[in-house]
Amino acid sequence: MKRKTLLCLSLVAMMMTGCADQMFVEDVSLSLILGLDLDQDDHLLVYMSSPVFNKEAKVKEEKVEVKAVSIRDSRELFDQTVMALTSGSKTQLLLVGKKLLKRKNWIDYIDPFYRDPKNTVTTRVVAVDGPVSDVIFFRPKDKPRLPLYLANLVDTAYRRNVTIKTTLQEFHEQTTEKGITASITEMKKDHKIMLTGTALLDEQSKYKLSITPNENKLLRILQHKTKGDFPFTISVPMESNGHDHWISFSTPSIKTKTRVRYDNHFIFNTDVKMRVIITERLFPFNVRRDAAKLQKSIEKKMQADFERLIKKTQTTGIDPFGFGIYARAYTYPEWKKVQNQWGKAFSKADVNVKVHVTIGGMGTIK
Amino acid sequence: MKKYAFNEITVMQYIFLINGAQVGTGVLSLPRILAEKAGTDGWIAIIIGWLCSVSASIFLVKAAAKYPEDTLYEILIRFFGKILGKVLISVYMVYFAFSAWTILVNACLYIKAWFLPKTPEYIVLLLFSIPTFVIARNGLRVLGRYSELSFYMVIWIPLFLLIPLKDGNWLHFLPLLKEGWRPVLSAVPTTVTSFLGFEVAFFFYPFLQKKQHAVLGITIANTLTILFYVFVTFVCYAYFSPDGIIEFNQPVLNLLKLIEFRFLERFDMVLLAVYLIVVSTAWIPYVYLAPFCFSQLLGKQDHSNYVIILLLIIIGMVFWLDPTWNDSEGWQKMVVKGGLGLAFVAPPFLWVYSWIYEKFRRRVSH
Amino acid sequence: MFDFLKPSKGKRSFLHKQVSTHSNLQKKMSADDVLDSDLSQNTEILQQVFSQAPDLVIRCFSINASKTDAALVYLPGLTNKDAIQNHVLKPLMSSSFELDKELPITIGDVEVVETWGQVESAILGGDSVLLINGQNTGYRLDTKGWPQREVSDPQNEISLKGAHQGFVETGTQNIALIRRYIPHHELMLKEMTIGLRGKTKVSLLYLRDVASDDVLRELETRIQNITVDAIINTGELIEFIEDNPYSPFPQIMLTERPDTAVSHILQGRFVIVLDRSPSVLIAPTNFMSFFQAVDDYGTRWLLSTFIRVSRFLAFIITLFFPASYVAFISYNFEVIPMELLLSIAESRIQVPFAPVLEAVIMETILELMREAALRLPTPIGQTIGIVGGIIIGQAAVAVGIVSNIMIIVVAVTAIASYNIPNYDMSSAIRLLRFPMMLAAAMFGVVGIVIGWMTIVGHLVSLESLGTPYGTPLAPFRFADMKDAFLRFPLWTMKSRPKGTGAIPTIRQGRNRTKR
Repeated sequence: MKRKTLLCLSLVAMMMTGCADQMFVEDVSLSLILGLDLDQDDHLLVYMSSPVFNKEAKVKEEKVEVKAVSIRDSRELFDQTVMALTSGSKTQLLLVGKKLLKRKNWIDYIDPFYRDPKNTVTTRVVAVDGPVSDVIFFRPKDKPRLPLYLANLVDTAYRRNVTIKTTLQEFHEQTTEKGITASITEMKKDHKIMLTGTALLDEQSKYKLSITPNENKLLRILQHKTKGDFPFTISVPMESNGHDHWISFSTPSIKTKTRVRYDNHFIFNTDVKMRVIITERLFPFNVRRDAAKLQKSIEKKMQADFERLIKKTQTTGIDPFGFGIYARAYTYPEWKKVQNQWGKAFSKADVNVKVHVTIGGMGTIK
Repeated sequence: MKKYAFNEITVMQYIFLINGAQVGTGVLSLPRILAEKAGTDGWIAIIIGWLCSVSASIFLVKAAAKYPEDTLYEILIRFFGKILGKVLISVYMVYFAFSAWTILVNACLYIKAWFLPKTPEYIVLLLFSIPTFVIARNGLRVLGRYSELSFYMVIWIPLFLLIPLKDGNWLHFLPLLKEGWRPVLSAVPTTVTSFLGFEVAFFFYPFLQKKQHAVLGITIANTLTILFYVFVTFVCYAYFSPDGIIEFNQPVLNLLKLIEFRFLERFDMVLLAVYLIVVSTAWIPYVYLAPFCFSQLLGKQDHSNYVIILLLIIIGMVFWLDPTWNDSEGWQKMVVKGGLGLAFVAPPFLWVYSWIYEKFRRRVSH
Repeated sequence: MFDFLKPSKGKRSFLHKQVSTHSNLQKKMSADDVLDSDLSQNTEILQQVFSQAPDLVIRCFSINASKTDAALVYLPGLTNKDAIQNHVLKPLMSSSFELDKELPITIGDVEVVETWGQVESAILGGDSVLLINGQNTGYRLDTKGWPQREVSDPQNEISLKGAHQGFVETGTQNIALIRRYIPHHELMLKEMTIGLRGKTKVSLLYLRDVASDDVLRELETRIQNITVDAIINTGELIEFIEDNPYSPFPQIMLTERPDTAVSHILQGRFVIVLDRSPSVLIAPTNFMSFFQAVDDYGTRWLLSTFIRVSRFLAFIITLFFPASYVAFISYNFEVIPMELLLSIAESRIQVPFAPVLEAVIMETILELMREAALRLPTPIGQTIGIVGGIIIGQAAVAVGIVSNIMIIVVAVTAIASYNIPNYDMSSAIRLLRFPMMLAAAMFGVVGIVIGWMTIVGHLVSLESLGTPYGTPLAPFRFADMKDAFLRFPLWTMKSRPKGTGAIPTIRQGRNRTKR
C-alpha cells in the first residue's frame, strides 16, 4: 500500500515537473548561418540567417544583423526580433569577415560553440573576403535557401579539393595543435558567391595568406589528406614547339610519405607518388610511345609548384601542412625546444618534395 | 544443500556484474585526465593500472574462497566477532551507499547538462530510481541478468567510435614515452582508481555457481574494462592533438559529437542517452548492495524496502544539496579513497588474516 | 502467490454439498450414496435430481431375453442418437442373452457405476446410463455426441506451410490431434478437473523423459489450487497460473495450431489442453519464443532468419518509433538532418497540438480502427480500413490536425506491430508504446532510455513457471541462441533448449555430415 502511494506521488511529481525542457521544433529559430564581422569602428557585428516555416511568409528566411559584444550576447538581441527562440544547434556555416580575421584573439568569440553541449561543432568555418553582410543578405533567385546553398557549395567544392573544409572541431584541433596552423575555406561575393580558395592563418589564428584552388590541391596532398578528386590542369614544358602545352589529368591514387631529420635545422623529405589518368591533352603527343617523357615533365612541373607553395608559406612563417607533427613524432628533443615558435623554425627548414608520376591510363584515344 | 540456490549467478553474469560496476561515467573524462598527466603515453598507465587491479582482484577471490558459502558479513563476524564484524560491514555499507550516491549524482549532472537543463535534479533522480527499483528489489540473479543483457545491448557503442578514427593521426602517439616513465607512473594512481568496482565481487562470490572459474571471471571482467578504456583512450589520442585534448572536459563526448549520418546528425545525443544503460549497471549493484548489507545487519531476509529508503534518501539529499560539478568531483575523490582501502588493501589483509586465523584455530582445536 | 487459493479438501466438498442440497431433494442424497436395486426407486430419484432438466430422457423398456425392466437415461443434446438407438437399445431389446453374462452392447467404453455422483456426472458429461431392475449398479455407456465443429483451418494463426488443422472445442479431439504427431509412449497425459460447477477437464501433455520435473510439479500445484466456478476459456486459466499477472507481457503462450504445440512439446515444454477451448496453452515460455512461428521451420533457413530479424525490427519500431518522433520533435531536434528538419517543421507549424498529443490521438484512432475492424464482419471490416486509413488520414492532414510525418509514423508503427506473430505479445507491445510516448514527451530521449531500462529490468525479473523469461539472452545460453534472433539450419540445433528446464537430451543425431 505504501509502495503504491509512493508510486503515485512520484508519478504526479514527474507529471508536474516533466516537460520543463520541451522546445518544439516549430518554435525554434535555427541560426543556420552565423556571421561575424567588424564595422568601421571595429565593433563586433553578428549576422544570422534562419529559416521561416510559416506558410504565410513570402520569404522563407529571416536575416538579422546586430551589434553585440559576443555571440551569446547576440542571441538575446536576435530573440528580440525574430519570430521564435534562437538556437545554435544546427548552425551550418560560420562566416568570418577578413577584417575580423586579421584581429588578434578573434577565436575567443567562438567559445560558445565548444562550451554549450547543445551547439554543433560540425559547422563549416568560412573566411569571407569583403564584408560578411554582402554574403548574408545575398538572395539568389536560382538557388535554394542560402544556408543550404552555401553548405552544399562548400561540401561539393571540398570533394574536388577546390577549397578546404574545416569544421569547428577541426579548426579547434588546428589552432591548439602546435605543429600545424589553421586553414579555412575562403569565399568572396562579387556578382555571385564564389569560393576563391583557402585562407591560411598563423599560430595566433590571424589571417596570413590566401591560396588558389590549384594550390589548395597541393596543400591537401602535403597534408597527407588524399581523399577525394584531385583533377589537375597544367601546362608542361615540352621542347617540340613554343606555346603552352596544356594537359589535364585525374589522380586516382596519391601516396605521400614524409621523413624528417634534424641537422642544425629541420629537413623534411616528402615523396609524392601519383598515378595519373590523362583526361585532356591539347598538343600532339604519342603517349603510348613517350610516356616516360611526359611523366618526367609532369613531375618537374608539379615539383616546381610544390616548392613555390612551400616557399610562400615559409616566408610568412606558417605551416598549414602539419610538418610540425612529423617533427614531433620523429625528432622530439629538437622539436621540444622550438615547439612554441614552430612557424619560425619551419621557415628555416628545408623541405624537399619529390614527385613520382606514373601514367596509369590515357583514356580511349592515343 | 546450497544456501543461495535460488539466487545463483552464472560466470558470465559474474563477469558482467563486475565489468558493469567498473565502467561508468569515469571513462568519458579519462583520456583528458591521462593526457594532463602523461601526455599521449597515458594508455600505458592504463595497462599498469590493470595489472594492479587484476592482482588485487585475485587476492580478493582467494580471500573469499576461504569460506565459499559465506557472504562477507559472515566472514567478518567469524573473524572479528560480532561487534567488530558489524562495524566493519557498516563501513562497507556506507561505502556502497556513498558510491551509489556519487554515481547517481554524476549521471544526473551529465543528463542535465546534455539533455534536460531545466528539469530539477531530484526529478531526474526520481526517473533513474524507477528502473533501479524494478531491478534492485529482486535478488542478485535478476541483477546479474540485467547486467548481462545490458552488456549485449550496448556492445555496439564502441563501433561508432571507429568512425572518427578515420580522421585520426597515428603520429600523435610518437615518440613512445616522450618524457620517460615518470609521467606515466604519475598517472597510474588515476588509472588504478578507474578500475574500482571489482570490490563488489566479494559479495557476489557466494552466489556464484561455478566457483572454480571465479579467478578467471574476475580477470576477464577487468580485461574487458581495460580493453574498453584503452580503446577509448586510443581513439581520443588519435583524433585529438596532444595539446587540444586537455581543453575538453569530456573528450569522448566531443569525439562523439562529430558522428553524423545522412539520416541522423548529432549522434552523440542518442549515444549518450544509451550510455545511460552502461552507467546504470554501475550504480545498480551499489544500490542493491547497500540495502543488502543493511538487511543482513538487521538479520532480515527481504531488502526491497531498504532499496526504497536508500533511493528516497538519495533523492532527498539531492533536493536539499543541489549538487554541482565541483561537489560531485569532490565526492568522487572521497569514494576513490574509500574504494582504494576496501578494494586494494582489505582483500590481501583478509587473505593473510584468514590464513593466520585458520592456523591459530587449528592449534586451539588440537 | 496463490496461497489464498489453496483450499483444503474439506472446503471443496463443503461447496459441493451446497450444490447438492440446492436441488431440493426430499431424501437427503449425497454423491457417495449408492444406487438402489429397485428401478422405480432409482428413476424417481433421478427425476428429482434432474427436476430442473426437462430435457432428460428416461427410456424405460424391458430387456428382451429375461423380460427384466430397464431404463436408459441420457440427455439427448449431448449424446449420439445413432449410438443409442442402434448400439444400445436395439441389441438389448431384440437379441437374447443372459443377464448375469456380458451385455450385448456394441459400444466401446462401458463402465459399471455405483454411486449417484457417478451417475450424475456421466449423464451431464454426455454419456448414457443404463439401469436394470434388481441390480444396485448401473452401466455408463460412452454415447457422447454433442454438437461439434469440424476441424478446420486455424483462424488467427495463419501459416503458409504448416498444417491446415486447427484445434477444436473438444479436449479429446485436441489431444488426438497432438498424438497424431507424437505416437510415442513417453508422451504423457495428466488429467485434472478444475471449476466447481464447470468441471473443466485440463490435460497436461509432455514428454516424460524430456520435460523438467520441477516445472511439472509447479504447474500441477498451480492448476490444482484454482477454485472457481468454471473456466470458460484458456485466457482465464492463464491469469490464474501465470507467475506475474501484473506484467504486460504474456508468460504463457496460446496457440490454436497442433503443429506449434507439438514442436514445443518436443522442445521439452508442457502443453495444457483445456476442454471446450479451441486453443491450448504452452508453458514455460521465454520472451524469444513469442517471436517464433511455425513457418520459420518450414521455410529455408536463410529466409526465415531474415524474417526472424525483421520481426525484432518490428518490435523495436513499434516500441520506439512514435516515442522517438515525440522526443526528437519536442526535445532533441538537432539529431534530425537539416533538410528533413526543415520539412518536418513546415508540416508541424500548422498543427495546433503538442507532438505528444498529436501522436497519442493518432495512435488511439489507430487502435479504435483496429478494434472496430476486428468486431465487424469481414466485408465491412475492410471498409473500415479504407475509411480510416485514407479518408481520415487525408482529411486530418488537410485540415491541419496532424502533420504528414505523423501519418507516416502511425502507419509504419501499425504495420510493424502486426508483424509480431503472437497476438498477446503484439498487443502487449502496442500497449507499452503509450507509456513510452508519455516518457518521451516528459523527458525526451532520456525518458525513452529510462523506459527501455525499466522494460528490460522487468523482463529479466520475470519468470515463466520458475524458468527465466529472458533466456537465452539473460541468462545467456549460446546453444539456445541458434533459435533466437537467427534461425540456424535445423541440423545444427542438436540439443533441446535449456531454458525450458528440460533435461538436455540430444535432439538429433549427426545429420547431413556425409554429404
